[in-house]
Amino acid sequence: MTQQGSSLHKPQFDFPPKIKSQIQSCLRRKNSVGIFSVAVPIFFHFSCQYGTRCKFLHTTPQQSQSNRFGFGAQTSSPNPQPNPFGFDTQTSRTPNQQPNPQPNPFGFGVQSSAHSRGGDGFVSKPNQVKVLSVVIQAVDCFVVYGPFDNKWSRFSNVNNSSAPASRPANNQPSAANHTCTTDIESCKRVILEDLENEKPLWKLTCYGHSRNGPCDIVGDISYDELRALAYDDAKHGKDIASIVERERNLLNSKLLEFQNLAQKPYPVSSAPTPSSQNMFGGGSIIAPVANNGFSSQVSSFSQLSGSSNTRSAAAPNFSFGQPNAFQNNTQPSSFQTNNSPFNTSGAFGIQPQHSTTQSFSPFGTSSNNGALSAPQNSFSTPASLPQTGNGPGKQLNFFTNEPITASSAIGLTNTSIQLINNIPTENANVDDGVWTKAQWNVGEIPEEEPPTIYIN
Amino acid sequence: MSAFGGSTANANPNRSVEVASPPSDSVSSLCFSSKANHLVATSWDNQVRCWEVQKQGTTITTVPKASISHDQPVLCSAWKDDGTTVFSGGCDKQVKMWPLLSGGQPVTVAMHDAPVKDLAWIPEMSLLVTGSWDKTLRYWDLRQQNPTWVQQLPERCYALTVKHPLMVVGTADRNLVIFNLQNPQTEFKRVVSPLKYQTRCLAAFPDQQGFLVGSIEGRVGVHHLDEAQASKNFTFKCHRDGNDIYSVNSLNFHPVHQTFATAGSDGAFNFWDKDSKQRLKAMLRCSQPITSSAFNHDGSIYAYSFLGIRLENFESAPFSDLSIFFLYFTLYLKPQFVMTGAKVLKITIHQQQRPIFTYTNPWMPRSRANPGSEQATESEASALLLMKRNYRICTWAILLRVLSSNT
Repeated sequence: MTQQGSSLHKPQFDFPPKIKSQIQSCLRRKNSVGIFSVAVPIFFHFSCQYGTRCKFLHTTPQQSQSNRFGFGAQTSSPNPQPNPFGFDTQTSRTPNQQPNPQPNPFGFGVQSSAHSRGGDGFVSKPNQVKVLSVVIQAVDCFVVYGPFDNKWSRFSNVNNSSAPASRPANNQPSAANHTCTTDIESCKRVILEDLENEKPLWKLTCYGHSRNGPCDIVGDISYDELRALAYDDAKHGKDIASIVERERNLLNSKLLEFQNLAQKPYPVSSAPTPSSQNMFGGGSIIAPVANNGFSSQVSSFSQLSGSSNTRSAAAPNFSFGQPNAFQNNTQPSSFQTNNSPFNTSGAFGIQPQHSTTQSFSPFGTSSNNGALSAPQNSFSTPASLPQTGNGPGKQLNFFTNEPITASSAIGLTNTSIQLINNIPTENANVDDGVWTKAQWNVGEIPEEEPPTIYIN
Repeated sequence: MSAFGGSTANANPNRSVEVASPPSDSVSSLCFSSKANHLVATSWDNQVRCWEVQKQGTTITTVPKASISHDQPVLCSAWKDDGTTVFSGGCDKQVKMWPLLSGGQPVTVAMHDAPVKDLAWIPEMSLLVTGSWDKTLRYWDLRQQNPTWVQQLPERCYALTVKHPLMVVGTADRNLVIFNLQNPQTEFKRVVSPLKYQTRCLAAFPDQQGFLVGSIEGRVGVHHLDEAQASKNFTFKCHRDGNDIYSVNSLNFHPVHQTFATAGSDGAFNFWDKDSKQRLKAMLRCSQPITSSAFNHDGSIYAYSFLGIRLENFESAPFSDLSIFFLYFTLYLKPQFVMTGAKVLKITIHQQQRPIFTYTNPWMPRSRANPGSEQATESEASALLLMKRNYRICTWAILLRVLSSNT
């Protein structure tokens, strides 16, 4: 190979001098075993003696791959993350005549030995490589032998069936886009499997079949709540039998819900679109509700939302400034559940407000309430957000307007919403005429329940 | 203020020590002071109790110090960062501040509309944050009657963890609300739990990069906040026994190492490392569910509770039975350490900062070091990665030592 153009460069080994001397002193010793092994990002700056004429790819990590060297055979492979080791593959030292597709901070790895016809820059090359193999050992595996004799390497899958599983069983990325609408069968399978095998001992719980996805069964009761209630009742003189009775009823109703889900596993779909993991085809939330024998109004709700699901691709990022959007049937995003993509916007105060519309009270109400109210939580307009900046006394400024408009747009009658809206009355804001209106504007709906005369 | 007796022996399978005069009803929360070995436990018998835990070598004794009572079961507790005051909240919907070191009386500082489930003291903001089943999170400046801020939550608060500026609140229906405490009035992010069932407990990473979430289904999820690190998110199963799936009741990070402990209703507590995805140590099962747990400020004592309270002293058990906590020494974070000419001289296993096993590198440079220098301690080392072959537990160990002669 002719050498023209760039002159012969001496490769500069960019080890810090101190460690270099250390390493060399170790190397002189015969017994040196690389207990140095640590992860050290060492970036070597080498200059190839062939310069631009070299047939190998001269790349450094973190640089975009531009093939400047004119050889088509050198495919510029995309450089993955900066490799702290820089060249762990190079230590194999196989003479390698073909172009090295991997990004190679040496510029050419060991091939240089083939070229190094006495180029004094390379004399120490073999040594250097040896140094590298000594110094750079990826120490990322270790084996733990414990009293249970679980023999683990970092990624091994050996475990004792009797011992509790120590291996992390699932490594799904959190951005798993769970498209229940497209692959409803697998979701159903997941649900059935879960309800069959993975039943926790505490039954009064919500359940969601997809990680980071909405709940299929809502209505959580924690141990402490149940216990606190029991203690409270006992204090007020309720006898133990009635307490037990009540708890048993709770348990049975919850078990029934789970059974229903198992028999008709319609999963709550999360994202119909692949792009948005957290936008929700919340319409199908209604589906399990329908399973529970909900009113016909809700069934129509589910059918409507089922169709609207497919159109959700249009609106992954509905903006909050448009309450009109909720009038539109084809906005399935209106049914979103509590997953929120709104990290960036300051309109975050939104959901806090709507927590109160989620009328689920833990004791005795069916999960339907939670299911229906969950989608309702999502709507609000930042403009009407009184929470921010209010003093302490005003926090409880809920607004239930948007959910109602949305649902009316969907065809639910007002009454059905009000049936499930068990918000405790906070403000004495009674104007009964409001309840007779057909449609509300933002901010008009009072917070407390309508008087029963309006509930048909 | 009541008087109690001395410490008692126990029949705990882990040879843990039981505290003196344990509560008469199950413990809802445990909290160690960050300044001294004072342990506070709140329980369902309406009491908040404090013990002083004394460690003499390998033995632990507990001396009951004081207690206060609420009107109803107490659910949560937290120490103030100066170690003088305890906050406790519970079913009486109040939070009381108890300046116990100075012997003061408790004062109510916070109120909610429903029982207070969890609370935390944020030293960087000098605020107390409380979460309750009334679906609100309230921030309290202790000098004022009204909350500084009331934050609405989507559902009832079940768990709360704070590591400034990260705060994560777990609510019912699997919501996890993440707050950036530099901007506490808005939610930073809301995610649905990566677990399938009810959220039971939370713990924020010490480096605030993410958090752990534990649920009632015997599973713990590791969640990173940064989307770029989302590939490091995972969940793992734990606290299961055959077909019985117990809930994970408590997650605690070790204050020094980056490992964490989980305690579950199966009566066992385990130690894990999330970076290597390993279980480090599984302790033997006790006969009752463990309801809460806590590490003391330096991580040498682990307290766990069910009906009573047990303390695990990591210096007392023989070596082969103990979990090894290890620190990663990632040189690439500290290149200057390498450049100053560190040299491997000794490999030492640190058990809770007390060296237990020492293995001296045979090939140290005889020419340069005088024999006396071998006895020099490894005190200069800042972290270790442990390696050990004699025992059946193997991890890589490097102890780097800066030699003055090796500049």
